[in-house]
Amino acid sequence: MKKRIEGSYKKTVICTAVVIGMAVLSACSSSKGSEASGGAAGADSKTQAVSSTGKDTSQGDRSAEGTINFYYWDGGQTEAVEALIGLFEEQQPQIKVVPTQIPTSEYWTKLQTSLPNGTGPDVFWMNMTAPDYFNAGLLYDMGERIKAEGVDLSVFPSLLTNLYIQGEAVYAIPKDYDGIALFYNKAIFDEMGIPYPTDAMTWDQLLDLAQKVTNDQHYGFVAQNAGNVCYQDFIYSNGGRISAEDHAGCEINKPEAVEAIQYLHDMMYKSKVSPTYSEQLEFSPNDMFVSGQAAMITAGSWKMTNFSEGLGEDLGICTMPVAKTPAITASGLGYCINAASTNLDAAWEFVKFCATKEAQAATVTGAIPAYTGCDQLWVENFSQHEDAAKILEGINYEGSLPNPWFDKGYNDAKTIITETMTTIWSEPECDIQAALDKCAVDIEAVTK
Amino acid sequence: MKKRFKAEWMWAYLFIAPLYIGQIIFGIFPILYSFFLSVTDWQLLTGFGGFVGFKNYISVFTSPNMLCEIRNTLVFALISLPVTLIFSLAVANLLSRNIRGKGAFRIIYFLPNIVMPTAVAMVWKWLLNTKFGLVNIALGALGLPTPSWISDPDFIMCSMILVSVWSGIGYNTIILLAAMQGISREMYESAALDGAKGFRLFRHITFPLISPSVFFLLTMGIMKAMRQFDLVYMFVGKNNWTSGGPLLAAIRTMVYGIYFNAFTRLDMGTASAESTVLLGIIMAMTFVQFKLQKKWVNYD
Repeated sequence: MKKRIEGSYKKTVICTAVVIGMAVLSACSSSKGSEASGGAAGADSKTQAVSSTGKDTSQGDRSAEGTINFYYWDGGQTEAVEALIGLFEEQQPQIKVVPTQIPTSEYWTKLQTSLPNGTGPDVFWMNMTAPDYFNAGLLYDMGERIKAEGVDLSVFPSLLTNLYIQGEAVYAIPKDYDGIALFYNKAIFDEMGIPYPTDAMTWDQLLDLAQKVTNDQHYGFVAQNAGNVCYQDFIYSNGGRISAEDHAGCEINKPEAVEAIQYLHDMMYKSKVSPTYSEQLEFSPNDMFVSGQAAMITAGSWKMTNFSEGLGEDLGICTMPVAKTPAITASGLGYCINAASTNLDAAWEFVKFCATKEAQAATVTGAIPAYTGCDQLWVENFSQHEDAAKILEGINYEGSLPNPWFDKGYNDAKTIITETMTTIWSEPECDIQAALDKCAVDIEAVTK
Repeated sequence: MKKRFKAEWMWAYLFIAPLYIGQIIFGIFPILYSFFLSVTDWQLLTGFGGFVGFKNYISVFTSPNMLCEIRNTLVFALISLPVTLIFSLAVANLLSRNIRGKGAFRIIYFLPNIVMPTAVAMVWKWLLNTKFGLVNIALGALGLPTPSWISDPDFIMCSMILVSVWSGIGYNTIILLAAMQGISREMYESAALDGAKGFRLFRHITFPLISPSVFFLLTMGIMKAMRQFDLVYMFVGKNNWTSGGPLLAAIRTMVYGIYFNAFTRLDMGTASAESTVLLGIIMAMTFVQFKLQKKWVNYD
């Protein structure tokens, strides 16, 4: 008898201990959760309840309500995001959007770990890595709703919409697009008494100009080890590509691409008009440009605010240098919906709103809006630079291509490209053809 | 009486339960789960893709990147830890004496320990900058060579060890100092009567009496050093466009490799295999240390 009492006592204590332990732990985790989602943890259960009833009632008309979580990564665009949400909540007060900014370095890890187990945000920013996510079934296909409600996708540049479309399925509404241009520091050219760069210079002109403005104070140009704002654009403009059109083969060792890489490599190690790779590691290329250590740089539209603040009236803008055809890396972000969202109706209402001209115009302080016509508003933001409109041209060039993409083994292929490029950039005596040949062979081994 | 004793036990269990439950959920379970992951093909986004046996382990021991990670991890741990300990012993020995302003020194030495590792790395990255860094300006002024500390593959491991020694000294010193102050003065007095002084005093009195603390620091230190990640990430691995090439190859460590495999290549299977290998190496090293301690650690 006594033993039994003791036994049950033991059980009670252990149970109590477990319960208390759980309580402590869950208290910890929930406080963390609310921190991350900006205090939305409490609203979570409400959301679920609402969405289940919301689905029952009817489709289409304003039945969607509740709270949705929205993740984005660029802290510089917080103002634009808040303006967008403000407008949306004005029109549809029954839906509350809770934005959370997650720094780029953690953003993807956060999505990768939260989406597969269904705890991810309802709506979030996406970039060219979208296929990784829709191939894994993590993105909601908006195709049917877009058709049913007559959302017009033709107002967006087709290069952008195509990034997020597979067959009939549509996985994102374009948010913005990247413009890429050649930026220069007028003060350096004035000081050296050399005429400013011009639009669509040939490679020889660019090299010649870079040589003229290079002295012991500053370099003429920065040949960056960055695909989208540098070497890819040079390859595309030279008529080359990185991933073949079938998204399986690799053309990085074709003469067009090799020429482009060799040209940039020579700028660092032969004509020495560009900082070497190790100098770029210690002082980032964009910082070099803003601090007057480099006269010219190729960069994206997202650096515009930074450059404009840093250089003021000295900032000059030209279209990209051209080898054979004008071309840039065409890319842009989109708004996605989590396939496992507990409130698809509300999420869709928000994303549908994001596709309107009004919504796109509201985000103009952040990036170039994808909606045709709204991009001019972005230029007006930088009206002190009369040549800012040139940044918009790239997306419409015939030669412009998206970032390289491989249907199979993309992450391994991307790793191989980065490693090859970094090796080429850091070795003054690199045999570029051999390095790129090996790169192509290695890539095809994982993508075919 | 007996009953009361039992009741106290219950309370003891109750109070340690939260810690244990936490340890099981966030410590033991993930370890066991990563054993399981390491024999599967598990892509982060798509999940389970079938069992692959020891394929992931084979790739850990054949991929040049991962071999290089194992080598770097060992080099880093086996150099940075002894150097940190030797410096800490010297500093603790100095601080245990009656020198002016020793309170201030103690705080100054301990400061690096409470600064976030990422902040430490950021600051050192600027101090070690080839053109504008304070270190090279000082070296240049003295007429010494000014190497590229953080962009030359031959020097970057050196810089990483330097920074980790700098930030590790504080904690080690405090532990050793506490141990040294626990030694009774009589020990030194009687040794002095026997004619011992200077280094012999340290060798035969101080060191044996603080050896349990040294052992503690050695064991914990090796575990920490084998898990080096922050500096690699902040110095080179942070940017997409630097994740490769000879510079990263010179310092990439196993934990960086685990991170890279899991979150850049999204290959959880290989990442788990690599972390299992790391666990094995750390356990083997700790085991050897416990075996060897009998020869030099003095618990009397």
